[in-house]
Amino acid sequence: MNEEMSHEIVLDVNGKVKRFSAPARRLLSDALRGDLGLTGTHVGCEHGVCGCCTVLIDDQPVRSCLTFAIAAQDRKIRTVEGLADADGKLHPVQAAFKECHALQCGFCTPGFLMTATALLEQRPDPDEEEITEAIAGNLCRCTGYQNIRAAIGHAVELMQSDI
Amino acid sequence: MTTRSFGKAVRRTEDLRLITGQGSFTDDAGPNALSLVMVRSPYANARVVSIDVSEAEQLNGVTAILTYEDLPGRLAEPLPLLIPHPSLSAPRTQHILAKDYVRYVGQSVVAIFAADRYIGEDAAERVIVEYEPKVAVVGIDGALGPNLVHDDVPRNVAADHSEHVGDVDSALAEAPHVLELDFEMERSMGSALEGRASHATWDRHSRKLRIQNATQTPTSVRFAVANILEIPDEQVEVFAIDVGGGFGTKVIHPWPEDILTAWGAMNYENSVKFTEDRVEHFISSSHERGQRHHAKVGFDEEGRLLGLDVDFVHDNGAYTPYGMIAPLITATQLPGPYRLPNYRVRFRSVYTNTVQVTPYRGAARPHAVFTMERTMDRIAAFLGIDRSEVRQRNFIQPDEFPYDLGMIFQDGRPAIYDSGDYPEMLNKALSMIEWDSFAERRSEAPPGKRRGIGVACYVEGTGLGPYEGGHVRVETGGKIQVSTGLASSGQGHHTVFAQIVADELGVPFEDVEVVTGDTRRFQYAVGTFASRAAVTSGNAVAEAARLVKEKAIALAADALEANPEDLEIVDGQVQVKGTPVRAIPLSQVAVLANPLRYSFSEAARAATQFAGNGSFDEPPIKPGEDPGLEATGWYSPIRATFASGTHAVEVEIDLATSEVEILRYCVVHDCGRIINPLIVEGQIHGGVAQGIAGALYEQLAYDEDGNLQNASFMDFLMPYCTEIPKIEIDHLETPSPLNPLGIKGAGEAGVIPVSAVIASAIEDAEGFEINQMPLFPSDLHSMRLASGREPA
Amino acid sequence: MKPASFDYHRATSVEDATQLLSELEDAKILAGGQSLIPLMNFRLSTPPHLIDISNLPELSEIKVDDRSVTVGAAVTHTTLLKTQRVASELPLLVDAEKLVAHEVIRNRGTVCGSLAHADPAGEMTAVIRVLDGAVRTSSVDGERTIQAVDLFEGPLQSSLKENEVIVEAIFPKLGRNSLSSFREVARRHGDYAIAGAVSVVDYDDARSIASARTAFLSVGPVPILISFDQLLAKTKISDIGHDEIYEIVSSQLNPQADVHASADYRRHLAAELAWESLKACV
Repeated sequence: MNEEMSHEIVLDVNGKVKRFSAPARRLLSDALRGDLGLTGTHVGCEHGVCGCCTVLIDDQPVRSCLTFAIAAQDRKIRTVEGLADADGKLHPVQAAFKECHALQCGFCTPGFLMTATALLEQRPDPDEEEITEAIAGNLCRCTGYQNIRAAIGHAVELMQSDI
Repeated sequence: MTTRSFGKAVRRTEDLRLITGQGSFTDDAGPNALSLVMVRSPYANARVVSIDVSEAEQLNGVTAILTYEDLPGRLAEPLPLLIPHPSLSAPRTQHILAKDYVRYVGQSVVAIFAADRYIGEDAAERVIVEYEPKVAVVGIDGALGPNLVHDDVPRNVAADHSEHVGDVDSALAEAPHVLELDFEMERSMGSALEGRASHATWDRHSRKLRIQNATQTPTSVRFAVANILEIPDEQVEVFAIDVGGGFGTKVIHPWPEDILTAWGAMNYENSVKFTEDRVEHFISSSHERGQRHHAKVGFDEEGRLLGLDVDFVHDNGAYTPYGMIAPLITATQLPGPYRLPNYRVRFRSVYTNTVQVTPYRGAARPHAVFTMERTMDRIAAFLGIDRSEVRQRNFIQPDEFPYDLGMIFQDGRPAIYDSGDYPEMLNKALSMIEWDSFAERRSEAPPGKRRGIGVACYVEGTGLGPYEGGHVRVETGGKIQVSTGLASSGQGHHTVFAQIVADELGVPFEDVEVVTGDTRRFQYAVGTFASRAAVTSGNAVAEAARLVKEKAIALAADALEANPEDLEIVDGQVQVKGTPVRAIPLSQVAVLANPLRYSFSEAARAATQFAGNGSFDEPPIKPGEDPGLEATGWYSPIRATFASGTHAVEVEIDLATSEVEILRYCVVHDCGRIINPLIVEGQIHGGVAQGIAGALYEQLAYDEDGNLQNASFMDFLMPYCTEIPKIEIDHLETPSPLNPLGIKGAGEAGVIPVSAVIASAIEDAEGFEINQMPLFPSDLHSMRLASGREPA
Repeated sequence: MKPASFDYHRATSVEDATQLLSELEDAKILAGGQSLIPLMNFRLSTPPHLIDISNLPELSEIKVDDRSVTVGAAVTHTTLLKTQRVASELPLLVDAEKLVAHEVIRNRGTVCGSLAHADPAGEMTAVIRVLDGAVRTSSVDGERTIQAVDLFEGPLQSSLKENEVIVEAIFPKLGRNSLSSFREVARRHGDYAIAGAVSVVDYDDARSIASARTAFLSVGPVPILISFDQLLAKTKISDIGHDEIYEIVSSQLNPQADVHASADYRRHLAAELAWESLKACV
């Protein structure tokens, strides 16, 4: 049967321009993981509920499983691999997750990290309700969320003491 | 002294790779692997009339399509029965691909090997299977009805099992009071965020089949694959690097896809990967919790238990790969922390045309605790005494250990409680939740709301055998390499095993590197389940570290010309006690432990043959010794160690919406000596969250045709952070006398009493009986209407 | 769970989009994709062509004038939620948007997309219904306006023709003497509601009720509107009796049971929420 048409797709991921060819139906989550080898973005449900695949597009958290790679061209994409500095210094959100034991199996963690990062970029000093609201669309099966909340609070402190 | 890390809230060594996107989950590897995609049955009970794959085979990118007829050798046999039991009279396991019949929606019928998952799904749509549907057997009522799941299993009964201690009939006949009670729990599932996955690569040059698998037990995958593919164990290497949650589901190997990926890799000159998607996880992995109990309890005027007779039915789904372990756990854990001189339990494990049932975190203990704790509440209500008082009057006392239940536990060994302090635990929980002053808070409920309080206690058998092993090796670079065979899926093993080894050996925690779940590093293991990893592997790596320490001291004694008894290891240095200037680093001892002909580093020169080591009267490796500063340790427990806990909760119910809000949730937990409080508390948080999920949000709803109606995260309501309250924790530490570290398991504890305690609190608030879980607002609404206790 | 194959077309203008829509067989419009792509991943929807309108500047505007708030087809829920003028001129839109799924979905999902999706559990469908709003559509045959009452025909079924695309949604502003309130109960925060009620109460100059109505979500095949004019006209809000409202609502709604709730519970909840939302219009 006939071959599916392939498109040349150009994505701006973590500040680098990446080119690959893929069919139009390639989900951004699969493109990041399979075509670009950025396997930090995880796939948990493929219907937009769990949040494991959350990446930032133009600084806003979105579900990469509900985005076609071809439609994400001309946008600025950020993934968990781009969070730490080039020299390996952890982003405060990452450091806080480690400090507060905010992860267990680590599968949902990249989605939480990206969501929390966007929150703190938009609201550097969120209250508890804003933290809850921001991560309310991410599922975690291991932690019961308590330490995740605490970690985001701790990240705020780290960011403020960093200045 | 080296700073001890046992007992400290050490931050996890696992985290760095996981927070930077550098974890290694099974689906992360093999972007160019063939994708295994299954065609699954849309019918719960049907005969497979015909399968036509001709159109699908034509599709570009399809390598092969298999049906049952294509399966060679042992691949055509039913999958193994993992845990046989004398009472399991009619075990049934599924075939890798359906043979003539399908018995649940989701059963694998056709296997497609395709260039990627997209193309595989295209092909799956083009496979035409003709079915002849039969009446589906759904739910416990269905199982007890006239229709059969397996034609050769009468009454759908896989197992009918009874046990008893004492004389229940006489006890009940003579008891001043007897109550008959019915309790039911519906299905839920572990629902890890990473589904099942396996990635198999056949290296034809080294003749190794290399398998990364999302598993709690790599050795099971290895032996299953080797056995079914009829190749030597030595050719099969299985490892689990990062596993995205297990919760019991990832113990049940082999799955059909484990075998097909391995076989495909050996036959299609390409690695093969199976990555389960979310819908598949709902309809083709494992479920648990569906159970219906009838209890008859006799007690005296003070509420003391005289006899308990429980008869329950366990819905095991369409197959029994894990035997009857789940209902057996209910049966043996039901007595909980109470003296129960006369106890009889009978269960029937019955087939239905639904997904198979195997242990999910808590493993049938939530049902046991629900039954027992609801029973205690009913006794309290009947006699008009406080619920906490009934419990206090029945507790096994701290001076009664070891306490023999008189039953055989799930490890095939006697159920004997080793230690605990149940009265103190309850007291702590009551004081945390401010039980005595609740009446005041109840009266302060806002208009349109009702408040209630509940308490529940449990005992959990953990840390069972048969065994685990651990290997510790000191590298000449100074790092300590530790490995154990069981796998990790978030429990923090890399950290806690490093803590144990660091302390036992006398080295800095930072120098210890742990690998779990890799058969290339450690061949013998059982697996991570039943809250057993810390107890079994923890004690095994401790033993290995002690052996290494002995060896290091013996070698260092020669080098330092000192008595071994005068040496100690502090911060990675073997030194003369009190005279730290006479010292030799462990890394150097490791050099000396491996007499060399060739030197590859500056440090290693000291061990070469002209360095002047040792005496000419003995060979460089003395008789009875091995080269290398390393050792393997084993721990094989005599029997399970019993952890325990008490939970207390305060709820507020909105009478307009029937929504239940948890105002406070308190946990007192006893898992013996705590290795790392941060990790133990994390396990409790997660367990309680899963318990709340099971009590108030999650169920698996089948329709009468056996279709799972809520096979998505949109309709299977796994809670978000907005649904989970803050959890307050206090600890009690009664060390286990059964193992040198004094530890007990902690992984499952959090989930176990949650349904019981929430039911207790809702019943307290509403004033009508709560006999089932989960409980949705819709259920609560209709129960309140039926009870006549409508809001004023 | 991977979508079936399709051809992707990025529209360069609304005209281009409507042209493509008329030429291509069974094409679907892709805006935010937050309702469509899940259906495609489940292969419940397998359109052979997608026409992406999310980048069209002419569809990315929110216009506020004396009479209405007009939302272009590429405007996301988040943009609407965060637009200050919307909050001040028609706060009901913001109240409703806060209940639409989670922020991460609102960041991509569009207001018009959720209307086109015609999900009776969608907050925006109930809002446009209670406000008696409309959508403006475009096709090769020209433009037309569809009133909300005519837009929704059944669950996930709108009256849009196959060659039509919604270009904007028009939400009429409330008068100076009108108040609104949105109440819903969802099993989890951010889920589709088990039931929801959005009420608007218009007052006369004497602070008596001139008119009152409630639109319901999740309790019928389409958003359902109930008018309380007969019961409440000329009364004060404080006089609204719980039992009368409860009776009217529960006698008029006929919701379906599902795995989350019985029909009775849904009906009860809708009635309670109607009462609560009406009472909150003060």
